[in-house]
Amino acid sequence: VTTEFWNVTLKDLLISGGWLLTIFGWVVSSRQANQREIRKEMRTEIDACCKMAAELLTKGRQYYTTPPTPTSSGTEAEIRFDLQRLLTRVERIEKRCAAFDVTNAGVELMDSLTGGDFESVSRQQVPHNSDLISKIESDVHFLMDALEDGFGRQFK
Amino acid sequence: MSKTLSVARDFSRSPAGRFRSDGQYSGEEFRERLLWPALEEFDQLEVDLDGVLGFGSSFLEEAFGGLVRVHGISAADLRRRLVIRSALGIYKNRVWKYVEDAQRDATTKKP
Repeated sequence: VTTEFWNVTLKDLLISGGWLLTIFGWVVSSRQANQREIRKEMRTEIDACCKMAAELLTKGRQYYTTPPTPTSSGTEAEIRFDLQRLLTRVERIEKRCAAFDVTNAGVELMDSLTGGDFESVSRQQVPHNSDLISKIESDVHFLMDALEDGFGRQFK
Repeated sequence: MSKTLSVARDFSRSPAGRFRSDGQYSGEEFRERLLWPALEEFDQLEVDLDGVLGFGSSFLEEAFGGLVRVHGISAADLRRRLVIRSALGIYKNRVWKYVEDAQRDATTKKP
């Protein structure tokens, strides 16, 4: 083909069009690959946070349903440490992705788990079906749901 | 004059409990031994919460909410004079929430 248009032959246009198409395809697939990686990372992070929250629930149950001891059992320190790790990760997720609104759920869990008479000698042992245990359970659910909802919004 | 207090450096890396009767390094002890004396002596106080192996709400509430409840300082005054530093924003927000709650309770209780 020898048709000329502004000194550019149709052959030239077809060649450069092919290149442009290749570059465009590479950009699109690269973006999709990046998105997939971010999605995978976030999924792993959310699963890890949910696991930590479930473990905190177990520790909280164990702590509040057993009688207080004169010396620290070590469970309190574990709860504080694990909670701080969880809150750090939750806050990081929210900073990274605007679709997540999870720190309020984290704060609720912090207050129910370590508020009131946590680490107090006057702490009363409570039954498994007490309001306190129910509140901790519902706050763990609330946090897990907030994480899943955020994931759904971010990667719909 | 201003001063910086680090909970981890000046008090404990593992602060625990609400009252002195709960054991060493409680919120009450931190407030009575370090926080309140520093506020009495200095106009501006910065409290660094980093470096600690986790806080319980009971510790933070007693230490900072107790400033309003026990020592009678107002939340507005604290806002002017106290700076909370923490890499974890949740802790910083919680401290101010406890201060505001204590102020609200104190205001409600007044005849």
